[in-house]
Amino acid sequence: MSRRTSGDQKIESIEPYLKNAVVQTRKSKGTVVEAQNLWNRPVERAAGDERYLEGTSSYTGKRGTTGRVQRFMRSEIWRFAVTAAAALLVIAGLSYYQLLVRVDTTVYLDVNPSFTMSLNRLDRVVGTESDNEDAEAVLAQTDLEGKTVDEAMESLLEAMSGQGYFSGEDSTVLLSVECASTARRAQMSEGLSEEIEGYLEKKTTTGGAIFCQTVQIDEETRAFAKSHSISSGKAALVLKLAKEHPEQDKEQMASYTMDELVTHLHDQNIDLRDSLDYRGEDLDQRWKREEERKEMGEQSFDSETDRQAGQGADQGAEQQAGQGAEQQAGQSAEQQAGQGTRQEGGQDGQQAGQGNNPQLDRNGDKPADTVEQNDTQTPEDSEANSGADVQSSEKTAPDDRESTGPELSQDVPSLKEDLKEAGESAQKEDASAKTTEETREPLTPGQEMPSGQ
Amino acid sequence: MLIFAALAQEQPNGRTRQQRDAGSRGMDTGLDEYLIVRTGQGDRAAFERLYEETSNAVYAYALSLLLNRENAEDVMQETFLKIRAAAHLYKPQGKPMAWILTITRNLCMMRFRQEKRQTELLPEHMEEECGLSDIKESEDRLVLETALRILSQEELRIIVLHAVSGMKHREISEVMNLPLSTVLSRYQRGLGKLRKKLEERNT
Repeated sequence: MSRRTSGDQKIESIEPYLKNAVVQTRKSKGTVVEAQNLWNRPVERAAGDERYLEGTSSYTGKRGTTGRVQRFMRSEIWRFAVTAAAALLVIAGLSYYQLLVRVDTTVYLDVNPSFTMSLNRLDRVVGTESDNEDAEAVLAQTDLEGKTVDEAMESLLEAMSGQGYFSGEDSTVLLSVECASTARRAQMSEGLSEEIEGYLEKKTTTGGAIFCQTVQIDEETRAFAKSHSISSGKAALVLKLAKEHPEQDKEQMASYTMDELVTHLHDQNIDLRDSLDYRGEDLDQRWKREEERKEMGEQSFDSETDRQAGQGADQGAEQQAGQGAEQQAGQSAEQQAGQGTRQEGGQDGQQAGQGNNPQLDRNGDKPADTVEQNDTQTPEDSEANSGADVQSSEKTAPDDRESTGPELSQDVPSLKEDLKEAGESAQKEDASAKTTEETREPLTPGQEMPSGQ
Repeated sequence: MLIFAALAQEQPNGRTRQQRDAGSRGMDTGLDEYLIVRTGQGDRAAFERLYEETSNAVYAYALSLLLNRENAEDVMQETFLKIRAAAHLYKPQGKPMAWILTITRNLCMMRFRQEKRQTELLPEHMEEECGLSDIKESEDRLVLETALRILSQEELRIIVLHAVSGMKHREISEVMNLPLSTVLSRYQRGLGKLRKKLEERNT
């Protein structure tokens, strides 16, 4: 057997031996005679659907597994198509995951509730987390998954507003954005803070304060956030502040709402605007308002304290005088005019004297007709009275007087003189009551009279 | 009769001289596919020539499938009978050997189904089954015997087809319903094994 240096030549040299060997095993020799014998044998002309023709171009019957279909299935074109389809499927699967499932950006929002929103490459929400109980209550009102980040942020702000956040003044928000891409981080940050600012301008009187930062969250920050029920964004801020200002207590800072934190830092002469991006209301104005409130609070406290002290003394004196006069008036009426209506009038007078008197006019003066009520009092008794007693028995005295006057004058002639004296003393008392009323501070509409007057 | 046969061979059959000379040769084996067409038209001489040129390849392929020379002879003869029966259905596509050997393969498969077994050639039966004793040249015998012993059935069939019929690998892949890459790799591997074994035996 020849041996050549070339591999191809070696291969070719074996095949002739093989061919010779195979041919020599054949009993027939491939001669013309053999062909003629075969030609002479009767054969049935083929129709095309015979099994022996399967797989040939002449076959017209049903395709079997060994036919053209199988050949195609094993052909290079088919294999290429299958490989290409598999590759496309893998690429499609990876793309789907990269675009729609994988978290590309994380947004942290802190007001008092703390939220975490996970976004895919298409800026759609793929997950949300509430970092404290307040946030849990807010998130329960919303369904953010699948929404764009803008829609989700608006829903979140609305839900917080519905729960009472952002009412009035002084709303402070911390927005933190985490993303591998610097460009996307900045873009997201800018867009969302603008959206929050716009919302707070509509909802609050001052426009709100929005602090913004970009973050890279590590395990230490995440652990701190979890243990303090705040978002990782706020945790990052607190840890950063604690590092920059070691005198600050990070535990305390973590417990503050954003409003409280900003105010606390301001009190410590630390301006958060130096550390973070800021947009919103003029914080200097806020600090001014805070100070004014404090001052007003002190002043009003002092004046209120004085006023209450003064009112208390007047009330005490008037109350005692009123009660004494009423009791005496009631007793005198019983004695001089008999029981029945007078007793009733006296009792009514006592009751009226002890409670509020709605029949005083705006100046606190008693109505003119009440003067006559005191006709039933003795002179001694009436001197001890100040203004309040004249209001007693107002409700019933006029009627009583009218009903009892003629009877008294007719039935008890000796009473006339007493009544006349009582009327004179009542006039004196009226004059003194007016004087007292003038020295007292005027009542404002709706203000209640101290009890006993 | 010989004159008629000669004249029959010279019939143009509607083709130009150029077509006769060059256009109808099988692309890879050099076989004139119009021998099949003319056989279908009743041309005995074409059939005889076809038999002379292709019977060895048909027998070798049948032997590699059946591993028994008696059966291989039967199938070989049956193949040409079927060629006669179906030649009128043949459509010239430049692959006459593929058409013929596909018929051979189908007839072998039908035989397997009938016998409900595939042939396994035990080494002790190789001599008798394959007629190795009829091989005169010892080197030839050594090569065939070694091939029968160490090659897989597919490797054997591919190498035998390539060696005996002269078919290209692409046509072999169509006949055997295998991917071209498979045919190429098994061909190379089989020959490598054969060469290595033969070198060991020589030393």
